[in-house]
Amino acid sequence: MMETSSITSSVLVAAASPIASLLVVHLVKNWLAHRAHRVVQIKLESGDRVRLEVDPNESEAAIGEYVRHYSGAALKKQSMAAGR
Amino acid sequence: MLKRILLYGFPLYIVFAEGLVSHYLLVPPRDANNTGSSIAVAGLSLLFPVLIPKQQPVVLADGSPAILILDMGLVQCAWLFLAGLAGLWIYCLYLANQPVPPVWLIAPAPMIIGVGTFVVGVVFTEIKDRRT
Repeated sequence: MMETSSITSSVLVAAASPIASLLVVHLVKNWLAHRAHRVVQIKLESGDRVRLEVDPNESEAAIGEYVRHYSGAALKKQSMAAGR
Repeated sequence: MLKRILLYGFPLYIVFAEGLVSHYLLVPPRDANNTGSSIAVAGLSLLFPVLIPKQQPVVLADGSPAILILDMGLVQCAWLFLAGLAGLWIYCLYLANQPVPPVWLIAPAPMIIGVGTFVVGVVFTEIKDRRT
């Protein structure tokens, strides 16, 4: 039979997982918020995929609004410039 | 909030459920040595919804439609973790079925691997949920 100490430590490790999860979530979200840029991808009508760097703190609605101001050609040009 | 409490407590439910099954339902009672790998699978299953990109249709200035994929980096990262953690889960099964599973630090190794995998799954779920 499994030793009592092993069962106890298993329960303790399982109980510690929510705290560990919260801590890691906090650290990762903090790191994401302080990145220099965030990359979004735009799938054009032609099938081309364009990567665009945006401010990591912008909302999704704001990013959508930002992308609406570009034409497909301008997006591709901007993406090529960012890639160099 | 309730969803998060239910989600975060999942390893504990698995430990207690496997303990109950192993000690009270099985005749003769035997060790609950699948707990770690069960928790690992629970963590892996959390990654599947993250693999679906968050998309937003947009109409560009020239009138052409396009699809904006907002979390491509997260999705690609989740694919990598899914492949890596699946391998780790297989290793966890191997360790759990040893005559005497090894102990890492304070707990059996399969348990540590299972909880680690679950934490990764929760982190991906939270980032997918809360990202902007």
